[in-house]
Amino acid sequence: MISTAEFEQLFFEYQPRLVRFAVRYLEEEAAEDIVQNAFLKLWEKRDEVKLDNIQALLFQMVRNECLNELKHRAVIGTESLDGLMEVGGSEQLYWQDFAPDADAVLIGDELQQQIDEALTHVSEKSREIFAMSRQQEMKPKEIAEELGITRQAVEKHINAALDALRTYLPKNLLPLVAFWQVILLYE
Amino acid sequence: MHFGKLYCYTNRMEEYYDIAKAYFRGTISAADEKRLSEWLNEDKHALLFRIWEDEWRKQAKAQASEKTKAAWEKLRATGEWQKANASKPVIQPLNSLRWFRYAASVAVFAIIGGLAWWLWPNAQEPFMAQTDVQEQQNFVLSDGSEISLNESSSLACAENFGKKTREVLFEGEASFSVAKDAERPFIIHSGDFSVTVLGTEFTLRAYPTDSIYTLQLTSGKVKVQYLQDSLLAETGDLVQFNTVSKLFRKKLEASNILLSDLVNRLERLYDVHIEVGDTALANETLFISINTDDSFEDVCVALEALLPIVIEQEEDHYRLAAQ
Repeated sequence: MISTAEFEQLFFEYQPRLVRFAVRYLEEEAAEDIVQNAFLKLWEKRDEVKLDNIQALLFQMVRNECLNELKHRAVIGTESLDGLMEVGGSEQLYWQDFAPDADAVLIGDELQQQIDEALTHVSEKSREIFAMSRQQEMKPKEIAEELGITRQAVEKHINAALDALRTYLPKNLLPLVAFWQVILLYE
Repeated sequence: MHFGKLYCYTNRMEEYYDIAKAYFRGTISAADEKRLSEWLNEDKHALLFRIWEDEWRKQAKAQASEKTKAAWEKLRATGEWQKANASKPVIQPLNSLRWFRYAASVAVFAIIGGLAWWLWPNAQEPFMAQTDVQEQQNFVLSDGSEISLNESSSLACAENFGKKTREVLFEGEASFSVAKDAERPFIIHSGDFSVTVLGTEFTLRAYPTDSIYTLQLTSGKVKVQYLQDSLLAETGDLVQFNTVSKLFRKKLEASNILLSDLVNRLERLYDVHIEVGDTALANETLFISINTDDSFEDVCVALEALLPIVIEQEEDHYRLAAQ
């Protein structure tokens, strides 16, 4: 149960650092939207939550939504995943602050792992070509020349990989349900 | 280099305070994220970080950036918010002090025992606060004293709190900022151990399971007492009370102390004369922890290691000179 005044306090207290967290992975506008949505969801559920440990819940919601957005971008191909691995700073810091007991899995690691898993559903050749296209940022024509195959074949491999991502990259569910249970356990 | 029980750090606390503030405001740089994360890994620092966070908590709204304010207004403009506020009057007050519950307080007092006669049922409910594992609570007592209760701790006001004295029962760890009132001393009891305060800021750790209780004085003066033994502590002192040997030990502990102030304190502590060679040196700040039973020679060794100085001695006259 959160009152309006408590909710307002939570917002002003945590919104800035949650946006800063999301900006690690996304541009500012998307980051702000994700944080805004997390607070709205919290507001909708305000009768069910206890005030203890709300910051951990907010953090999980924001983190999950960032991950989902990155997956979406991986599928539509607007985001270079390598860039994500090179995000500076320390995601660890936010874990220390918001959820010190949780198993901290870094967003980049989790995303990479799920992508690798999804790509086990395509042939090795497709994986290799997809990596050349995404990680080495080679154009289909360049890949075709290097491998001595047609450009159409290259595109077929890339599309197969993208299909696998679309199909097998699981969307992270909001951890709300899990969190209610945790909160009840601690009550 | 071996300093015995002497811990010294050149003071960089202030710097981390600023970094933590930037973190709360959402303006921390990537490089500082790393540094703060590493710094936080140390136990003592996590507590300090939470104290800073409390400070931020109180200012968060007043110091909100334009962007945060705009986001808040945007959120208030959504249909969900409007709808909820129209149909749902808020019943819960901001500080719903669930520990006010009378029945619960009686049960806990019985456990604390010894001074239970204090709390014999009365029409007025005594103030009582208790925290769980990983829980913190901040509150203001009726006399205006601010208390930040750390995890697994409890604090209960005596029934006559604020009349002639301000007495509380306490277990665990808490920071106290005691409102000044020379007429009515603030007395904290942990079993037979007690701290008498006139108006000051300090952190007290006295879990029943601790073999050593510690009191870190931020400002002011307090008297710590065990039965007939007592000890006066002043700004910057760290007092330890060994619950097994029942002995007190005083340390000089200060963050951000100017060398010139430190020198004054060392002069009193060790009954020596210390001269500081040049003014630039006197303005150096230090984070320092000295056991009062460390010898002055130990302290000199530490200071020479910390600062670019040499210490010259002539009988009980010491001179700190820049290298």
